[in-house]
Amino acid sequence: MPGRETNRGKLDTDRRRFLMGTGAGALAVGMAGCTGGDDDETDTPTGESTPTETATPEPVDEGEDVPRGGTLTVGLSQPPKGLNPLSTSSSYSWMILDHFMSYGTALDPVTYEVQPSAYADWTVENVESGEPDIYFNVREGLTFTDGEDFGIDDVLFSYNYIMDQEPGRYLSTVDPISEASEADNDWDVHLSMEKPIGTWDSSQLQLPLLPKHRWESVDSFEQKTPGEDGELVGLGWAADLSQFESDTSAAVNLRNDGEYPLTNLQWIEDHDNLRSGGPFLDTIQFRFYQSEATMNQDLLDGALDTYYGSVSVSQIDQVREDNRIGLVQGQDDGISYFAYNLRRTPFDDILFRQALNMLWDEIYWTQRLQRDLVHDGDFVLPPGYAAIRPETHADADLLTDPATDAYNFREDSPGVPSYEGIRSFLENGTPITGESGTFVGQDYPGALQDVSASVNEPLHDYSFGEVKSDVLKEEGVDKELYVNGQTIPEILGRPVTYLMYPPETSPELTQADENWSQNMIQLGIPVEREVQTFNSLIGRVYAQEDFDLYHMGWSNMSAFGTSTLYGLFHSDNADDHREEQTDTLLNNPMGYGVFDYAGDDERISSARTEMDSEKRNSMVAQSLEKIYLDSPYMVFGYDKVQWPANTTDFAGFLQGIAAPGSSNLSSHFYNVHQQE
Amino acid sequence: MTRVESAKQRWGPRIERLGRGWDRFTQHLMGPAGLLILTVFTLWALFPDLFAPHSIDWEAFRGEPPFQRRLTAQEIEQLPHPPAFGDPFFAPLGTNAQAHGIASLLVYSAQTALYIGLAAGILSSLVGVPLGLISGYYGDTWIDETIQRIADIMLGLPFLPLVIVLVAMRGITTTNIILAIVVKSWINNCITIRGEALSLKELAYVDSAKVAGASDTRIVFRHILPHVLPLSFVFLAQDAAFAILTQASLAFLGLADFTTASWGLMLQNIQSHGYVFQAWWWLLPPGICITLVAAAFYFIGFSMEDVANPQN
Amino acid sequence: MTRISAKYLAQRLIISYLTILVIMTLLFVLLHSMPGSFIQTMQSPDMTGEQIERLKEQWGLNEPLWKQYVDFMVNYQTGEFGWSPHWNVPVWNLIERRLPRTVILFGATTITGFMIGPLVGMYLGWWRGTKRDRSIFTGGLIAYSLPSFWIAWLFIWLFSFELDLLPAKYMRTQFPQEVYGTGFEWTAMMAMRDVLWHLALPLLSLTAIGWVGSMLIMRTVMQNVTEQDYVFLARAKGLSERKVMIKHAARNALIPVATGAIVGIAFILDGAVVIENVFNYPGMGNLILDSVLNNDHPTTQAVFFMLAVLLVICRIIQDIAYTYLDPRIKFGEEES
Repeated sequence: MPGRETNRGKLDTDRRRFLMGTGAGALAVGMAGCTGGDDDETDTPTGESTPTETATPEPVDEGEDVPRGGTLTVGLSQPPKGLNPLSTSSSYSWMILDHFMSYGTALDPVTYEVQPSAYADWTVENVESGEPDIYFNVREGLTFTDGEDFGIDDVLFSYNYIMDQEPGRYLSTVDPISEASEADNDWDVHLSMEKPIGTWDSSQLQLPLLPKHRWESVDSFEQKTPGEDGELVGLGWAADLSQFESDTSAAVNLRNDGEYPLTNLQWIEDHDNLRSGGPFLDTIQFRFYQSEATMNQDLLDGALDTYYGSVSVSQIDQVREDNRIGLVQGQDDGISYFAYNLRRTPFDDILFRQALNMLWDEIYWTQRLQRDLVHDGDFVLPPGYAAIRPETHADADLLTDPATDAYNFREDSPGVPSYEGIRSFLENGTPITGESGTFVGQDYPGALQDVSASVNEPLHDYSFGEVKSDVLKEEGVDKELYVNGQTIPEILGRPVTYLMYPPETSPELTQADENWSQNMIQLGIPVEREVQTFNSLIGRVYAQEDFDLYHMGWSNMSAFGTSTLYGLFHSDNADDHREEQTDTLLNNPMGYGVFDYAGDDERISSARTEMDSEKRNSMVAQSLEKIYLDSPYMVFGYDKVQWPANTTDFAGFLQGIAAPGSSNLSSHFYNVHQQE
Repeated sequence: MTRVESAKQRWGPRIERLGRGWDRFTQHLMGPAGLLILTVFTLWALFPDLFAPHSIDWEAFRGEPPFQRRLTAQEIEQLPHPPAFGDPFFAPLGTNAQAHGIASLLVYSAQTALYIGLAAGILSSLVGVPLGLISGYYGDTWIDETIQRIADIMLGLPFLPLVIVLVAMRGITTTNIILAIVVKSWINNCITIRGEALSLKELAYVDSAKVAGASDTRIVFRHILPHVLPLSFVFLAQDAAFAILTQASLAFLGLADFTTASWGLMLQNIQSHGYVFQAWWWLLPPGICITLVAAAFYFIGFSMEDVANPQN
Repeated sequence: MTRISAKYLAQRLIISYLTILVIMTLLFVLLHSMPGSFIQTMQSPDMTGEQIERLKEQWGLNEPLWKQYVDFMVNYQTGEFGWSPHWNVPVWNLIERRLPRTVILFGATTITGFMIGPLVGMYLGWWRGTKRDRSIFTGGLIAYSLPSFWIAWLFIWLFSFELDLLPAKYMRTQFPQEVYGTGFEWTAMMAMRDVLWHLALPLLSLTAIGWVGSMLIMRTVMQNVTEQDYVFLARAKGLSERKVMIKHAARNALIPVATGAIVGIAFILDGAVVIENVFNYPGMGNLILDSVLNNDHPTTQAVFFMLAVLLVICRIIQDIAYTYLDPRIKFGEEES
């Protein structure tokens, strides 16, 4: 499930996913909407023709004998927040926990297919009744990291313990389970469900499997601090946690004798890109930092072999010049976006939002500031998840089809917006609704699919006239925007407030913001920027919905789309402030779906309950395009992930997968080995 | 007696006193040096366009706005650019990663530094001095007790963390940063001024003023205040220096208002862009300016102290 | 001769206690008026409203405000700081492991600072007005004006980046086996040397600025002392200038410096916040910064609370020390 992000850097990584999503464990839990096992094609590389973008996973030769041994040192830009698998959601914690935890099923890091792991096989029955029964068999011959045997007892204990304790992290996963018991038929375990969950094999079958002998005496899950009392035990490929200093470093020894059963499974052996028989390394060391700059310096100095994350644009040259370090290319598993508050005039109007989108200079952002390390954004799920992208369902090219570029920067000369064109776009009152046409000098071929925007008329009348606002006067602008005859300060009581957090994590974005707000001002929209710390901003946006527009990012999004769409764009997850003021922290602060002039509730709801993956993917794709036309979000980028790793001494890195250096970093731990 | 004479009689001693003070102030080179530095920065603040090589919106390669094109990829590769004198552009202190000239930013940032320093210094004095006077004059009464307890409470909160909480709470603007600093910095003024007032009120002429029926307000502001004024200027100067350094620290921690240019922000930017050890022309000047302006305030403050407490 | 009476002490203690209560109240109000709640950090997007409510319930956020306030006041005074929602451990664990580090770093700084500062201050005060006084004093003020993180960067640049002499992060070697070979075991000696080696740069950066504070106090006090009768007396006795300065003047001048230092110790956290951040040093300064920025209220409150108690205690000690050590009372007794 997605995590909020601030766009790279010191402050971000932890916070960006504080909502949940961390490491493979969380990815698995949050991954929604897949009935699993079928042939979803989610690994299609994006079709953009930029040179940095061609990476695809390399095939491995299983016959080859790779060396065993060696120590890989990994940097984390923040210390982990505890090592309790039931309570921590820090991605840094999960970098260590991933060595210790294995689940009933596993997600293929390349194809996102659900594959066997600690459970050998599984099935669901009685779906039609509305209260399905899940059955599965527990694999034999597994041992915990402390050497104890793993068995059905541990599985039953884990389910019942988590159902009883209700840790927030797994609440939504265990909530639909009414009972976990030994099966009375041929199967080992029986889960009775209260309602059908399309994602059952990647969620209910991916609860942490706890060693009963370690946990049964723990009255409250929070009381356990496994890292500190040597109690970190699970089914993973780790041998032990040989060092753990909460604030500075950790070292994990691996079971690298080739006998670890869960990396010798058939599907891994058959897999083109994964190597069976891992892990191959002796030890993985972690160094924790307080700042990304220090960590990057250590990478260049040779103290690190890799780090969690991606190289930022300002450091890319140094890393490229380093002979020891290579860059593992990857796909973004998230998006960067601006969000508009649909509760407020004129942000409630599709026409106004689209006009703002056209003022965003994406060439400046992607080519100049980010030096081609990001794709220009369009839909609210990244191109790496091709199976659910509208282009795939219309045989169009990913990211480059003209229908995905409806909101391109409209410029008179390079970098200079066509103010007159955009002004008449507002005055004429014809929004882009899915019909083909020419908008501000650019042809739009019509929607890829059979969808159209929620409304095809603007809500307000726009005109330009005498400048009244101080913000505009100071800048010497000659025209101001009037909405239904009033200036924006007359409507809102103040200029448009662009809410932002300190540029510490992404100074480039601050520049792009400056450029964008300057363009708005020159057009005649008075804008002021307000700076808040990231967490204060979260409060303003998600608790109070007190904003006009802000930017942020999501990472670790679902490859299947439904849970993301439901969480971020369904009215169930928005506060309706028309009746009462609430301070819940739901994830749809724009209010998309709350108002009849913007929403796609019905389609999102039915996609959620759809069990057929083909149909569901097509519904998701339609929803994505509709949201694109409605523009509650403006997606301004997907990262072209550049994950630095010591490719001189190590091999086996997975090129081209989603988030190789973050959500999927732990897949490397059992694939990477020393060079010959 | 003519009016001129009476004026002379009234103002003569004062002017003489001022002159003596000035002599003491200039006894060491420190005071004048501080004044000189401040004068330069004040000029920068008032007339930045006269001193800066370019406007604050100037960008390397593209020149002054309105820009007619974007930077090319090759041009961006060259950023941050070391000092250049005419080829390919004029930037005596080079540019930062955003193509802005360091020299121009430096000059335009003087405003922010002086604003923060003076506003924080003056506000601390405006709060601290009157409270200190009142507290001292009513020494050992409930008024004194109340004020001192409030000071005690504020002293119990650590400075920088409190400022961070306040700024995080109210939003990162220069004004909020100043207010957050003042919340703590008035206390020192208050305590010291109170001590002075305590001893001053015992002096004979205060007693005689009391006997003559002067009101408390008159005694405090007419008879005691003038004697603590020099001291309060010392504090004003020190508070100003301290506020500027605090703003720099906040900027380093990522809590600077990035919509206004400031030296602290320049340093924060070099850090977030990752050029701390790569671009000396960007790293050194803002730090030197912060040091100079803070030192100037300290110089003036300590020279004033000599004036306030003539001991030699 | 004033000595502290039991009554005075009792009164002082009660007032101090009330001060702490008020500070705590203030803290409570302050943190509760920060936008957002720490529940955000624990929430996941697929949680329903009901589940969020349950989470709030678990953390006691659904209690009426007065109840939360009372709980906070009672728990914190009994040392029950609760759990850190950000770090997922009891707050005590955090403080336990981070406090010693900060104490080591800032203990060392305090020692070096108070070795250099008063010594220089003594000379300057004694020779006040000379050319040397002026130039060193000016130099001191310039050092006092340096932004601490900036000078630390310059030191790192020189000693770590260019010369590769000193480490610029952590407080000891992380994986000693890598550096000293496998089978390496820490000995007490080795560990101490390693810690000192890592301490060098942060210590240098802090001391470069830190010595000035005590120098300034010492210089002023020293100058007052030189005008005291007993100094003239000592001179009259024909003692050497150096002996008068050190034995008679400086010893007495140290008293205000020392009492000032008591309170100064509690203020080290300000420097800690910045310097620990520069040097990747996992101490209290970083802890409080992270806690504030992550809305980790239990930890923030705990650190603030402990500091407040520390400060209030320091002020009592300072008061008592003053009363006992007041030079005006003791001077003369010794000399006559």
